[in-house]
Amino acid sequence: MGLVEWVAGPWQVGDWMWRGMLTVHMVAIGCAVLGVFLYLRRMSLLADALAHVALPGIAAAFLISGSLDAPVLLTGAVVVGLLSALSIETLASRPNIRSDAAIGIVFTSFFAVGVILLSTVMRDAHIDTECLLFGDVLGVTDQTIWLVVTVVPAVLLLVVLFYRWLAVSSFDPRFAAAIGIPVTLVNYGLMTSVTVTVVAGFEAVGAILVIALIIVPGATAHLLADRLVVMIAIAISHAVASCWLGMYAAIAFNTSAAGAIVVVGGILYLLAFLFAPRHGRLLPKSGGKRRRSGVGDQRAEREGVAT
Amino acid sequence: MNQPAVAVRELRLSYGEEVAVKDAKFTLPAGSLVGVVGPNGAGKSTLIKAIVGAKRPDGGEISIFGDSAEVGRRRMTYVPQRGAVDWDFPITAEEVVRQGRFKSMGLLGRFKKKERRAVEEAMEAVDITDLRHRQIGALSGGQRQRVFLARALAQGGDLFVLDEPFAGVDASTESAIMEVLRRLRDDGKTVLVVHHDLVTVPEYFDELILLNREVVACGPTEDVFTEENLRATYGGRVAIVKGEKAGG
Repeated sequence: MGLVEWVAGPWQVGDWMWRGMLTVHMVAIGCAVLGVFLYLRRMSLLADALAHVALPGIAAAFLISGSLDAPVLLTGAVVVGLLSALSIETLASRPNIRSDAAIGIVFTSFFAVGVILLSTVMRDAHIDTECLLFGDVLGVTDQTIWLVVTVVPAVLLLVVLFYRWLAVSSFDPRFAAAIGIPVTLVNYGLMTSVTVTVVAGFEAVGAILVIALIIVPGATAHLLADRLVVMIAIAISHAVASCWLGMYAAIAFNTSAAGAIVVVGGILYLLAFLFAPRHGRLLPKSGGKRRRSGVGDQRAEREGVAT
Repeated sequence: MNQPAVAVRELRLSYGEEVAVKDAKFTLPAGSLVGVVGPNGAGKSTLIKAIVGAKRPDGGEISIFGDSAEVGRRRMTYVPQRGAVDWDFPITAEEVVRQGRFKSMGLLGRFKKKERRAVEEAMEAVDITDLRHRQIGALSGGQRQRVFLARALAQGGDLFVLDEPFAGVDASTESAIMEVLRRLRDDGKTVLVVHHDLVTVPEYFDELILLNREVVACGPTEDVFTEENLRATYGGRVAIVKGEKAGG
């Protein structure tokens, strides 16, 4: 069997390949773009929290409405997600509470409530916890496909529209406030977008792996990029490459697609970590490490004086 | 010129129980170069934050160009302390300077000729044009400070507020920045600078505010910068500074 046939093969048997690929691309690209901003704001861990907190959100929405429709569950997840983000910020703004602890306390508590709800009052509801946690790329429903093809382009459109606000408030929040950017609103807008995207991605890749799709592309891109637009472009490329390589790896080894995609993403990060032109650990070019080492800083200082 | 750039009355600032600044009262004449000087923990940065709107006063009044602070701040440009940003952020020097135009361009405005010219002029004024494509983390401390000053110049305004612009900066950058600030003053702008080096105070500033939780003295530098006032502001430590000055 030739390579071409092998690559084309899965697309010709039924429609699971294009359905899976479409969904996972949407989720991965949305997560990658938002992940860049979370990474730069040192909020990657918050994505983790929001992904976990979505569980009690979904459970609460089901309890109140009795419905398992995606928009209802999504709304529940967003409301509880924002509630938890608000709690985390309120806690973290206290001088005697550390922000990492605040995140840990709030999201584990919320998540635990979700677990209790699922295992008691909702025992009869058809919520597949395993799917919620680990996803099923090759078995996505029409509803999930519709959800991701509406949510992700909408989120990306918002990022494009508010790009300037997002960029400036991520880089220098005090300056952003001084020129009239509603920094708090931008912050909550970003968190809402993350929650919506994460929940939309649940069925495809699961709550745990969606976290990797948010954090890893941004982290990889940061090793390679000097400009924000470049960083976003690299993060998207990382997401797309992970999807393709991961999907075929999953087919070749007959294993979980979501797992393979995340593993490939991790390998790509490792390659960037080792070989990045500036930050790389194996191939430091002239002037490499400048941004991280004190010695380089002093050299730059001297250059500055000389000019 | 008749309207003061900043007028502060009975201003009181605190963090919870702890009072940072109490009963501050001063006026800054428009078109002057003003220094705010005082020991560590004297409330200099807190006072600046209140003026730029980043800290809510617990009492008192701030007016800017005769208007309420909210209105007056539209004519103000703030250069925060340099420590506030992440130097690993993927952004070039030029992109930072371009941010200075965002206030007037709004969320979706495009960079037109006018904006590009303002950015070019600002970069030329502080001599960073050839560093424009460098990522900011690859710049020295002095170069970084020039970038942030250029962003403020690109933004424009009638009142410039700078928090410790000379901290961690080499001598050539310090004199370059001072030259830019003097030029702004000569153009009729008001410049307010938080400063910590007493030796250069008489040379740098027209007006001076001596602060140690309250305003010890305020007015033209030659009237305010006296040994008596400095001792009242700094306590015993001032003798050392004076000695250095006499020695140099």
